[in-house]
Amino acid sequence: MSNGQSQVSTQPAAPASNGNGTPAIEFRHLHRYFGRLKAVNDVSFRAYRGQVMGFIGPNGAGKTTSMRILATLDVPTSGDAFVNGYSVIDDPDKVRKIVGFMPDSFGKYSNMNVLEYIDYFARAYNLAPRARRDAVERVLVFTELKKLVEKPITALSKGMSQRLGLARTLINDPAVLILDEPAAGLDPRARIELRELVRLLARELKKTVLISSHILTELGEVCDSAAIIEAGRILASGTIDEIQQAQRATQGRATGAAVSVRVLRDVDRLERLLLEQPQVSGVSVVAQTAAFEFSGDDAALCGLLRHLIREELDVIEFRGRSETLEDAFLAITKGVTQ
Amino acid sequence: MSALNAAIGRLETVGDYCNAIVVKEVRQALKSRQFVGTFVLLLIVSWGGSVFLISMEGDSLEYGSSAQWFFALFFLILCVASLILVPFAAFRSIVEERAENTLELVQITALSPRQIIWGKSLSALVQTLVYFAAITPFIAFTSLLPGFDFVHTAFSLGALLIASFVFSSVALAIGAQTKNKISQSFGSLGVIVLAIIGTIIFAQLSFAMSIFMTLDNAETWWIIGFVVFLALSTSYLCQQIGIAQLTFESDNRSSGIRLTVTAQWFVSWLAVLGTTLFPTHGDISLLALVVLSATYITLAGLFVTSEGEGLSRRVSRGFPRSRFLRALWVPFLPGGTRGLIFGLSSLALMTVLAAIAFGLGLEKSYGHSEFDDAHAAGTMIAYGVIYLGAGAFLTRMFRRVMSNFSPGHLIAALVLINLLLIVLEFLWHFISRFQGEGFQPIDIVNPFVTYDAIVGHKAGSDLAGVEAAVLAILALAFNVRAMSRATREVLNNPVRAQIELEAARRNQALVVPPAGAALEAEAAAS
Repeated sequence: MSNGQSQVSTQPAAPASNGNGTPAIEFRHLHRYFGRLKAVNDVSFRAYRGQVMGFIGPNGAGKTTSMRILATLDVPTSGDAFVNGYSVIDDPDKVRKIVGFMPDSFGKYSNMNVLEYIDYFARAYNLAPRARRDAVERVLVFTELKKLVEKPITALSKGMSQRLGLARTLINDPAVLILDEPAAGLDPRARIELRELVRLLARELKKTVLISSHILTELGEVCDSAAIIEAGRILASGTIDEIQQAQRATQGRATGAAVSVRVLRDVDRLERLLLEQPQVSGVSVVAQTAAFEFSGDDAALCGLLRHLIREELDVIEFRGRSETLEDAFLAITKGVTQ
Repeated sequence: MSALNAAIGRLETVGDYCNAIVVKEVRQALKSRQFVGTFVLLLIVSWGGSVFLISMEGDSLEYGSSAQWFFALFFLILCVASLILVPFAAFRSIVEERAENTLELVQITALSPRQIIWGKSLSALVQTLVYFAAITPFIAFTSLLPGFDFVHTAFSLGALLIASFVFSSVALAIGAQTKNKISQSFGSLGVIVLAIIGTIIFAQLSFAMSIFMTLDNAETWWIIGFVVFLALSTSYLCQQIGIAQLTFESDNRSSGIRLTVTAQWFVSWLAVLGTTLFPTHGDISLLALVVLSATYITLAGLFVTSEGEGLSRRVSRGFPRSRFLRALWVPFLPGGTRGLIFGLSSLALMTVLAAIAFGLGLEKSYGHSEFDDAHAAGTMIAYGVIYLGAGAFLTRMFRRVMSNFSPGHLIAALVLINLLLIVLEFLWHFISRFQGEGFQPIDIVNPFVTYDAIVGHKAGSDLAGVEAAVLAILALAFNVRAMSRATREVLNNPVRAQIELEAARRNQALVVPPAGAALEAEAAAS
């Protein structure tokens, strides 16, 4: 690629639930410059209905800027972004009706309780009185804030504030949710609860969620696809598997499963035996464990284990090591900052 | 209790259909210590003042015209609350929303910038009405005293309500401009100073009017109507400025301001000229009217001249289909050079009105000839053209290196350049040891000196108008190409042509768009 990065794919992620084929979110050659700083530089990717897409990148990579453009809070220098086919430049008012944006930090009004806050935003979406009351009830139940309706919003904990933010984001029942660092500053329990809420939104309510976070293990568990951005450029995008496979491909590794075998003794012989196998590559040995890439299917993997036992190796552990999003992120990004 | 509950229920139903911002701000205000404290303070000060005045008046309370003093006291208290506290609260409300990042959350809802600004204005009005409610019992008490004038009281309170609305709109417009801590601090200071000065002027005018004004003739009501129009249109203009600040970048931020400015000066002209219809009308100074209008148009023109060029697709989509209507619409569309066209067309229209008025002999000259007045008026209009032309040219130059070039930058640059030229003028006079009272060609750099020379019919001032006209033509010459480009951008807009082409295709009609438009549409599509 022109920037010299290991850009494995900027092609759209495969539709999980394509609907009418229009991507729910689409960035098309998006650029945003602040003076000489190229905060967002030719960003293109797509997400489809019901997908949870992780937006991953180090601080200052351009995640928030891209998300703000998608939420119609900023305009691109060039390129465009679309929500359900509506351009954020040409039809911001239509985009706003179908998008819910939760920024990483949002202010709170003084002298206002939880119910008044949610009711205010329901009014701001011009919901009719009955629909407004229903919507307020629905989001309060969904975010489990019902018991806190009388509590002043300035007195809420961080976790409850994030729930309040999510409730506000959901008040107009948007098709697309943009969540910028929603888990930042949350304790483990609140984080898990938030993860469950996001999962529920995508799986059951068929919302498309674009979510950014630094906690990649969290994202790996909840996301169907991801886009990795660094220094304003997308380095990889697609489903998690696609990203991992593409990453292995660009590193010249076999596109198979990572496997590790631990033996009681004779690790050298184990290494020799593994190197003899045509489906094995990239063998590395640490202590009594050999790690390698296996390109065959599960039956072939069984065959390999049988072969090692037949060769009277004392195998005490044999396992496929699944690569995480974190691995992919570390392999793809280079720690470039602007 | 059931009646009370029913009343509350009905109020809630009304609240269901109110602007969301009004409901939110009123809810917040009623819970805020500042608002409740102010309300209680109003009651205490009014009560204390009443007791003090009663003790001072003694027996004359029943026989003199003590109601005037009581009303003056309550009116002053109400002025402070309505013209200083309420506008400052409106200013703070928008500034805090921006500082706390809550404004962004509101901006991406279905609320339009107009609804946001209107909501803030209306909630300021509601707060003013609540303060009025605090004073009402004291005014009711005053009405029982001798010398109480119901008409003037109602008139003063009505004027105060309008003034409070205008002041709040100005404060909101200033608040919407402030985007960082420094501008917030300056904005706060500016709002407080303006509000205090405005309150003093308003209170003095109100007292003067209550003494001198008679409400029983048509001309007075004509003037009152004109003043109310000026006040409300200024309020509307301020709201348009606030709305522009909250409007999405690709949307049209400018047309509302341009249309309001045009309506304001045009109706003002009609209203002033309309006073001549009254048999008892006083004298009008056309020269003063021209100078004021030209200054206003030039300032407004400079504001819009400093806009960036280019039309977004979103704005282009809304163009009228007819080329003629599009041509008429050019001065009101966003873009710096179209801002120049706006300023020039306004000045041209005003020149036509002034020429008609001078032709009809409506000018009242104060110690100088009608010709001098017309000469001065023409020269002042030429100054407007010069400043606008220079402003448009400077904007284009600065925008090449400064993407965030603003009206403030442009006006500062023009003022600095003009001051520099005035310093050179003084130096020239100093070096040439010019002692005369006459007008020298170099004096044209100073509009005040030029004006003074023309109306004072000083030696050499005959050429001032010609000199100003030549400079105005030069200022135009520097912008002719840009103006032509800006006009063609509207007339031959590819987005509009593309929309028409697509509509024609959809309808499967045999409509062939103009050759140029079709080519541009295809170029845009490719």
